[in-house]
Amino acid sequence: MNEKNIMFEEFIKAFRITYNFILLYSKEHKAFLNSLEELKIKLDSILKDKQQIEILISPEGVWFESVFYSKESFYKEVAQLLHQRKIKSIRFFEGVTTDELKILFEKLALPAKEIIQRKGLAIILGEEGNLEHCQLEDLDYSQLLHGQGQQIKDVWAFFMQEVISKEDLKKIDEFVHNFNSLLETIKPSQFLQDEQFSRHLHTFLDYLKKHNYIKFKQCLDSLLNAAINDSQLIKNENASRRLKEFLIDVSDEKFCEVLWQRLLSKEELELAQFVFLTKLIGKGTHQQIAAFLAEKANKENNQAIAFMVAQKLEKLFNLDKNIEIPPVYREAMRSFLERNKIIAEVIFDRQAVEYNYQLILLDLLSFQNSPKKAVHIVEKILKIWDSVLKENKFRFILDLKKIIEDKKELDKGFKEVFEELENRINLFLDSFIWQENPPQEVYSYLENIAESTASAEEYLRKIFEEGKVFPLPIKIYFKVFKNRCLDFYEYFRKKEEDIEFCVRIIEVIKNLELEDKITIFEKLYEVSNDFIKAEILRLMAQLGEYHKEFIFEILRNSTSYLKKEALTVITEQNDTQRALDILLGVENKWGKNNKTIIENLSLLAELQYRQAIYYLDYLEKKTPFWNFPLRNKIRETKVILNG
Amino acid sequence: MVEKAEKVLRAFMTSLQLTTLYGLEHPKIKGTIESCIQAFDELWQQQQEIVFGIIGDEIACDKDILFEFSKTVQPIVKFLKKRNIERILFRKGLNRDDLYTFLELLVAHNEKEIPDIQKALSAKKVQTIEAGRISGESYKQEVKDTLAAMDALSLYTKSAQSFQRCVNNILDTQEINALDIRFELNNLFESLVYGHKDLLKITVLKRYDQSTFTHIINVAILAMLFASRLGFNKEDILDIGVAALFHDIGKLGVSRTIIRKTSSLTNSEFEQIKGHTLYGAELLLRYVDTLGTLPVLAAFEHHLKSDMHGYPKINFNKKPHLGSVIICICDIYDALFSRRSYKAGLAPNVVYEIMMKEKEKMFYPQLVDTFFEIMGVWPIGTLVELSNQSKAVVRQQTKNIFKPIVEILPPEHTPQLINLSEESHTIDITRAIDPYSEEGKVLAQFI
Repeated sequence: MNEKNIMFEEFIKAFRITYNFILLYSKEHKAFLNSLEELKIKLDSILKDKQQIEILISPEGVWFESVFYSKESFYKEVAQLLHQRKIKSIRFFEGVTTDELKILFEKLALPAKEIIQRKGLAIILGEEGNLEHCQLEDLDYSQLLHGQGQQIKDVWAFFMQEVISKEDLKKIDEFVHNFNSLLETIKPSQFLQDEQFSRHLHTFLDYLKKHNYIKFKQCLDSLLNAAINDSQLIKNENASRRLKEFLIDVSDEKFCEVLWQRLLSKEELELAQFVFLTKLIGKGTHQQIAAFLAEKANKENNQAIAFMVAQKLEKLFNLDKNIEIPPVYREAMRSFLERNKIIAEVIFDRQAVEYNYQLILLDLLSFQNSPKKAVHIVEKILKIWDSVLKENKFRFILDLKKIIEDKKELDKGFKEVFEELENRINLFLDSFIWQENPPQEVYSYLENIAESTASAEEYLRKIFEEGKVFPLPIKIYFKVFKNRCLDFYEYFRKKEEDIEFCVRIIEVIKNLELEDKITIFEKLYEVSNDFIKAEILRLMAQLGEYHKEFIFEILRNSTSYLKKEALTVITEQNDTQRALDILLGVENKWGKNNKTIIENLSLLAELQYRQAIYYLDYLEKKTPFWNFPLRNKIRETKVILNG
Repeated sequence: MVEKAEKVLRAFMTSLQLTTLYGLEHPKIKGTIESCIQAFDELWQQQQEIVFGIIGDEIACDKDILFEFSKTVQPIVKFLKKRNIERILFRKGLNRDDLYTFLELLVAHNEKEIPDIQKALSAKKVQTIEAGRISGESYKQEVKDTLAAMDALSLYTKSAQSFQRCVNNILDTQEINALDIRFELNNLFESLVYGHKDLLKITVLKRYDQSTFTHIINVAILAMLFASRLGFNKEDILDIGVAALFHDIGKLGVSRTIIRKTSSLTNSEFEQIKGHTLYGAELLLRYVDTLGTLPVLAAFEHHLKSDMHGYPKINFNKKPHLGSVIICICDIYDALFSRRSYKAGLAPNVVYEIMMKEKEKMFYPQLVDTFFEIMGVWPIGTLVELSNQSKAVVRQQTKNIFKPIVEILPPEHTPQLINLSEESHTIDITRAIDPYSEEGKVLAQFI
């Protein structure tokens, strides 16, 4: 970059800062005044050895001494600021003063709308009368019509009024010509909220209607098209109503035609757009609109277009049930849709290509009995492996695993062919073992596996140390590592202090389908504290499964606390008899075991164990008359149980 | 020198191929344009400009004719000739923008609306490229001949030869150039869209040809036409075209004796026939990276039936892909029509009846109806006899699939077009005439 460029860049930067300061602070603020001084220095250095400089403004950048400056954002920023203020060029002359620059910036800080209403900044500055060294040239407004930004709405509103008041036919033509770009810049939903803009647009369109009906229709068409594409507008009832005032001269046929064209175009027709358009139609009934569309559709000779229209309509009719399309439309279109209904399925579905390809690979592999020939099928499967995993295609992987197993049985040569594939499958499937809720199809597979890639230690570590107390790993452990059950119990014993954890384990086991679940419970019982033991007995009771001797042993030798739980496990009549024998039929010569029997009677009373009533009668008879404490306890218990 | 010229030309043609297939916005294009500019930059170190000419099917560069190179870029040669471009001059100073503009102009127009590329280049202020026809008397006749050769038949024949080479490569497990295949199909597709009647006429005619490759090329043409009328986009259509070309490749692994056998097949022979779907799919698996996966699907699925009587017997249940079904319909249609050394072709109305009877066994049976709505019962180009004994050729389909617009042929009747579907006409088509029969040959003179 040469010195001239650098100086100009510095100047534009200073210009931008000064402008920002006048917007932020008052014109007497120190920051603004300092920035003005700075700007003056930069300007003077450019003006050195020159009588004047001229900066030309375009929306995208600025021209200075035949160079276009636009790459840096600050050039564009300054350019847009001046462009929106209708400034085509600025000239600074040798001798420009800080005061002149101050006035310039004061006026630049006026709202764009005010600048335009006061006929431009050149005129405003001219009114000041003392800006000898600073001149502006205003932009022809038509160039502004291509502009962007919020303020452009004000510009348009002003010009609409101006061209009509002056009846400048050339400008009106230009204006109509640019009407589409206006609607691209300012959407109908935006200008309908602006009273002033709406009023001017009405005036403008009224003028056109009287003086140039063709151009008037042209503008209405543009407005209607812009409205359909304005998602904010079509959802807003009020705005739609206000728009209808503008479109009062649009015939129903035109609305229908627009609707039809929309069905024909490659663009989607949204349900909301369809409803919006049908609401705009004036006198026409839904019946008439539907008939119009049906007639158009039935006359369509191009099969591809007919399919496309049918597809769009089907989509519309089957979309959101909350927004109702009057049934008359479907009725009118029935025969057309029937004729073209195939289109609903006729879509070139890329995903289906991949899906079918994956299944074909399975088929080809299952048909292939030569390990050598299977190699390149396996290669292709490995190639799509990532996408299979990404989409969690469990069925594919499980089917593949089954094929591999069958093939390996058929020919040992397959073992090597499938090695990598098997590793990947096993790794993938094993990752689900440690998920709390694996997908059902994977669960169903994994719960039946006969071997696992992970060791027993890894299972124990993850279950007991990482707390992955999930059904699947526990089930797999007891199935796959049958000879390592003792290790499991030992880990359990070490965790007995953590009652919550242990209860989680036994609850998981309770819900598992395991052949020797009760044995597992009994082994866990052996290594547990009383609290967990009681919990195990409760779960056994819930299951209704138990080994008699295990329970009877508890009744014989455990605490009342556990005896009570053990008693609730028993469901068989014979076992009840045996249990009562154990609890109450204790040998009691001279009342030496009164204490135990009385404790057991209390337990029965507490449990409301009514099955014991008949046994109490027997016990009472058997108890000698002198053994008052026991007889009293028996009677007391009978009262409670009968009560 | 020639090497550098070839390098430049190859880079340019690759850019053109990719632009035609994927459009200028595609990310692949940027890289090829860069390679192209790089190749030109190397060339500019030695010369100021380079001129390429197309003479017949050969590409000439200055005084050299690049015979070998020309063979490898035939689809592009055809493409350029269709656009009236026989000479391209690139000048030093050529930049990316000029190249983009040129490519944009080349692919933006279809062959029916050929613009004057040179005028368009001038309008866009491209001064580093000139393109257009070869001027000078000495070339005129040659160019004329070349353009004359660019009719539908020539396009058909050349495409068939090129696909045949490709199929042979696959059978020899050699590499194939998928881009060329797609480009070749693109040429066919453009002809189909902008002058499809001519190409369809050729497919009718070619059904009487006994060459193996006419069937697959017919199926590809029909499938692309069908797909385009179903509203598919160009990429999907070309994919279907490629898949159609290879759907029956597995048959090349079955003994000719079995395929041509007219008596009943033994179980073992039938098993061999059925095996062509598996063999084809396995063969095409090797080319998934170049041809995509759809050819595998088409080879595997094109004999599946919804009543489970098709083959192969699949273990992993799925509905055949729509692309396979389209190919299946076109395959059956063309096979029933086609005359072979071992069987006679069937008349169009018989083909229609058979297909309508069989359609319920197919997936998407309604597609068969749609197919005939597009093709009509009597395809364009068919020689027919009418109920008033006059002979005619089918010119255009109408909404009534049985009653097309026909052109009455001399010598016995005055030539005229008749729309048989109009109520005022009570004339029907009574039979099709074999164009290779004596009667057909006579009539063919008047078409």
